[in-house]
Amino acid sequence: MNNYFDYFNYTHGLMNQNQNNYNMINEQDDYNIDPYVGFIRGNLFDNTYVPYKNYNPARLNPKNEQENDLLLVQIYGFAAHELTLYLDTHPNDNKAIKLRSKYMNLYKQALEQYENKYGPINLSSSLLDETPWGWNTEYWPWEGVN
Amino acid sequence: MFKYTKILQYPINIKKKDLRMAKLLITQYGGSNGELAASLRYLNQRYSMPDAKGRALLTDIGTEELAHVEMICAMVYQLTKDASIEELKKAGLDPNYAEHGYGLYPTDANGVPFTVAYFATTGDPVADLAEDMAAEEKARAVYENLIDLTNDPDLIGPLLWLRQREIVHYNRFKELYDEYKEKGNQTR
Repeated sequence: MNNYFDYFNYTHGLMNQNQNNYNMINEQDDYNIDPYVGFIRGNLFDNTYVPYKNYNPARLNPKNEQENDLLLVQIYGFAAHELTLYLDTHPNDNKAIKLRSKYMNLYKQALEQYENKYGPINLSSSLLDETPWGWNTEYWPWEGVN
Repeated sequence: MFKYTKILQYPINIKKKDLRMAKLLITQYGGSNGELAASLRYLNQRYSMPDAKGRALLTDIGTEELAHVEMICAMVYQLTKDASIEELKKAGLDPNYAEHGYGLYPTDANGVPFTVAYFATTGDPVADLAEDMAAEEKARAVYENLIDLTNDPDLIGPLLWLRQREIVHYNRFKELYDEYKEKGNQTR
């Protein structure tokens, strides 16, 4: 997976694909990190992942474009956050700093793309400069999408 | 300071009303090993950490735990929304309704309200980090108990995910604990 758009196309493809294919993202870097797999299992790092009994992580398959775009924000935000925690205890790890920077940039792109299509989700969004006030949406995150 | 982003850290989409699980899950909101206790414990302990590493780690994990509080509340909310009085009575939630109506209230699974005693702060970085490591292990164990008590995949997915976060946080706290312990031994 070379860039954001490959990844975006991949997750778009996910909507119509066999659910068993989620392992196909393999972003080989120095930490062998795969942001999708890291996100669905809640642990970016292979060597510290501990499953419970015989449960597998839930495979998050977006049902529509909006869910897909939201998932990208969550995936890249999570990867950047995991590397933040890692760097707190490994502050001189230059490779991890570069990797965090990469995922933080992907997060910002995904966030901007989501907001441009569906409305502001953070208070720094320039979309909130418009009238009527765009923060008081009907829908809030805890309500679920069913 | 804190800024809100209007998304969950991990998706919660529960299709099936389940008042019994809501009654049990609430402990990860207001119980001694719950997310609210974790968040406030770390954000409270960070002031007495001896260096930048400790302040950064407790701030960043404490902040993530706020997102977990929101996830647990979302689960409880979705499991109970539109519940009738009859359904609440049947699930033994009528005392909860008497006190709080349809409002969320942080208690453990037995209805014991949240208390700041759960912060468990000594001001000693090694003791506090040992407490935090234990807290992550206890929260992991409670998540496993909760997973054992349901067969709803909409609940199991987020519970597995939150359980895994306890493991990651434990590892980060352990790295800091080992470093402080080593430094302490050098100065003794």
